[in-house]
Amino acid sequence: MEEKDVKLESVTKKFGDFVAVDDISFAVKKGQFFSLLGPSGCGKTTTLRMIAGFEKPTTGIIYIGDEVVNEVPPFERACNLFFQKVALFPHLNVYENIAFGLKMQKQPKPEIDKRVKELLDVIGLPGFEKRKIKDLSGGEGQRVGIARALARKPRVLLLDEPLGPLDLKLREEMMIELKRIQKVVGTTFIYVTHDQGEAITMSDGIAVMSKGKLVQVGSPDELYNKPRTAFVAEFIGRSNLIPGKYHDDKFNVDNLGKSIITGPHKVTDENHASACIKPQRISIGENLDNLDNIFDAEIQEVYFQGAQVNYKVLMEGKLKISIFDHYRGRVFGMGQKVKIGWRKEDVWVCDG
Amino acid sequence: MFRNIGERSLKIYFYAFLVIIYLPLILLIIFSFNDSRRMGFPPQGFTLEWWQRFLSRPEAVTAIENSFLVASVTALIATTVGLMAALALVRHFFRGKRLATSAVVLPLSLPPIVIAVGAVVLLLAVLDVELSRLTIILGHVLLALPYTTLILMARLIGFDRSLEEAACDLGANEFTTFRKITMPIIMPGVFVALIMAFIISLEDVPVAYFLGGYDTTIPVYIFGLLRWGIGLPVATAMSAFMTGIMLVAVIISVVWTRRAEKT
Amino acid sequence: MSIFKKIVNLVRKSEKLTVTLQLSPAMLWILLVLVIPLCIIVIYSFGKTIGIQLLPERGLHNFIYLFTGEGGLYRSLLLKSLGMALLITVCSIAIAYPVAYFISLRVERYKYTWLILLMGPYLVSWVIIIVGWRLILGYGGLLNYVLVQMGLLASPMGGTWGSWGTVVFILMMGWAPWLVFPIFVSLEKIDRSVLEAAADLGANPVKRFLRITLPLSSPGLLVATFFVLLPTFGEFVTPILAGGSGGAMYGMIIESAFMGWPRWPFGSAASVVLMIISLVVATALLRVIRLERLMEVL
Repeated sequence: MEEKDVKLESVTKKFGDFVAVDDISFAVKKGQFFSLLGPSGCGKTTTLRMIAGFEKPTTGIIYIGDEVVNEVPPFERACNLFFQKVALFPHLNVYENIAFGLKMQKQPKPEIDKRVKELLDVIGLPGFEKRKIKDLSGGEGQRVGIARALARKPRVLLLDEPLGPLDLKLREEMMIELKRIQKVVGTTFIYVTHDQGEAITMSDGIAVMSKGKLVQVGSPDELYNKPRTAFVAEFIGRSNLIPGKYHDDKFNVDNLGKSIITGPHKVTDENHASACIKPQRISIGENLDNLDNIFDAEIQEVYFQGAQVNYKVLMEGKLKISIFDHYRGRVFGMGQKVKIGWRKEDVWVCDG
Repeated sequence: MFRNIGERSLKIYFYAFLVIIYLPLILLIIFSFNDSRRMGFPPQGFTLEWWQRFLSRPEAVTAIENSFLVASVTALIATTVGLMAALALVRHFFRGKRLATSAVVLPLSLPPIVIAVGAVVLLLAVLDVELSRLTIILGHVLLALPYTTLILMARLIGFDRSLEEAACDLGANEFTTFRKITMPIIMPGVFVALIMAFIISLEDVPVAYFLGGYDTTIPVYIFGLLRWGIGLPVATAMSAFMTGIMLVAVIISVVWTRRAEKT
Repeated sequence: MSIFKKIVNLVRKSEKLTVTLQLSPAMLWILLVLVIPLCIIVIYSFGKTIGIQLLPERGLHNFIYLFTGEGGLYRSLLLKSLGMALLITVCSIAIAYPVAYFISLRVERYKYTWLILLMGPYLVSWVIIIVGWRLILGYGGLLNYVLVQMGLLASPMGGTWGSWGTVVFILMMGWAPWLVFPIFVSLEKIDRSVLEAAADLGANPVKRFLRITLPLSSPGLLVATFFVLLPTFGEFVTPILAGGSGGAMYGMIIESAFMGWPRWPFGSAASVVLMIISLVVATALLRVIRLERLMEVL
């Protein structure tokens, strides 16, 4: 069996009557870049803190490696946390910050010096030992924070929304950096975020959470193309979500004359399902032969974006649909009536 | 036009105020060298006699020793106890919190004489304890405690707990975290608390007066001299001495702060 | 595991234990040195003594004596002292306010330098300040000297020392520098753009001050009141040294009952009255000032 670095079994966390985390179980493989993804308040940070040791599960077991760590305090666990606010020690310089964990391990000075230098090279800030924290820029501070968290060679590195406060360009750079560092160092990363772009770009595996519950665990590809519920579909990537009923390879929407033809799908409740269709999979205006589903639509909004044109259309006078189309030299105008269509393979039916 | 008169007046008022509050103290220093028992205007001649007398009087010197000893001990105790209380009040929620907070503020709400009287009755009538420097310390810590606790609470409220969590995560247990992370960061607040407690103890009259027994502090000693109308010159010299210390302290602080404010 | 480790683990697990340990020195101190003694003097105030030993008799006689004895002397002294304390409070805040205003709103740099300079006199004990003022206000003091030299007075006047005016003046000047600080803090907090908005909307400087600056600085004023009013109620040092016969204050009654010819029950009763008044005033003030304000000042 593949080695699992972190495993949660039926973990629940209550604060008084409030259930922050509700019976979640998942496992993270060794060396994986794993994300906990969800909106604010879904319990992902609480889960991370339980793994780190700052909160104790109300019920359930947490394993790091083979060891049950419920009762183990944070300073004795084999994982390290990168904080949302970075939390670099303001009264110590860069060297002392990174070296802190190593000093706690009582490592000899030459070893510490070597490791700090090594880490500064990995994060791309060689020679920064003597710098003061207040003199660091946002991106530099983040990187020092990561170096500090990696210093003790933890089995698992936990990251709590590290890219939140950064501006867009910096965030994109840091995403590449983080992924690169993870590959170089090989540590298992557990990454908490509410931004699905970050999760999809960097992760090997993602767990989507909502209101304390685990909604779906899988690879980015699975979550993107085969979401289990409408929530996941809405959260990850952009999808058209159509609520309705599924029965026997056909999806029916109230008041819509025709059925949508789909393949076989598994849903929990056939009467409460959602059909997800990716905007880029819908053909508009031409090449509609051989498509299983063809409908009439009226163009309502047009957004020209250079290589891509985004349309918002009203399908059969009832449903609002988004379409991403390649720019083929012509753009449809507002109010134009067109035909739109897609294959049955491009529809995914999930719980609504 | 009126605006300008107004602004000018304000400026003059400000500087005049500064002069007036320092005037008695400056005069004290001048008159401590005054060659006359009378201590009245105009000052006559220069003499070191009063200073010699004051420094050679054992009671006076003892009073100085007592004052500084009591103030130092008070500062240490009040700050330590205040820090512990502040930690509890800022970081935890518990049932008696309101009550505890009110209790901490209680000494501030009473005139010091009431506090002094209470302590005296307890010590003499009920416990039959001899009054001394130790009993003064008891009273002074009580006076200083609200100040130290509130000062430290203010510093702790703004303290970023994730720094402590980071230290913990990196392998430091609670004691090490406190020593290496929390303390250094709240150090400025600790200093302020120490200094505040020191000053409160040094300049207090009512509590030291009631609780001192045969041990006097500087203000109590001077109070005695003046009250019974004896030793005015020595009192003046002693006052000048304390003023001198104060001026030195103020000058040092001003230089320090000026440097800090420059950045 | 050693005992030490066991205790550490217990503390770690129980938040209640941690809090208790942290709070207990402070609470014990306050309980033993403040609360219990106050209860004891309440008991004494209802009693009689031989020497300092309490007799079993109980009654209101001390209080009755306090309020009616000596032809109402004590009662009028109490009222007079309360009035003086109020006057001193109002005056010292009034003189301190412009200073705080100047530093906050007119000084650009080095604000704290000025504040420290102002605090200087506070570091020096009351008694010493009184000695200093004697050199100015006394019979042979600066004021008289200057006035006589300038020909405005034939001979030095005695009224400037040893009267209630002396006491009020000295206490007023003594408290004012200390009060600058709370007022300064609340003035600093006023958002300058609010004042600019008012100016933009047509308010002249006087109106701006009365309608915006003053009301917004009221928390500082309340804190200042809290710091002056209560201690001044029980003031006895200044009246004894500089009050003469006209400047006597209530605190002197308590002082003489304990340090003069001992009349502990009577002194206790007098203290209890003072205590009740102070607690009532303090509670009222604290209702309005929240704890946060007090902490800001510090």
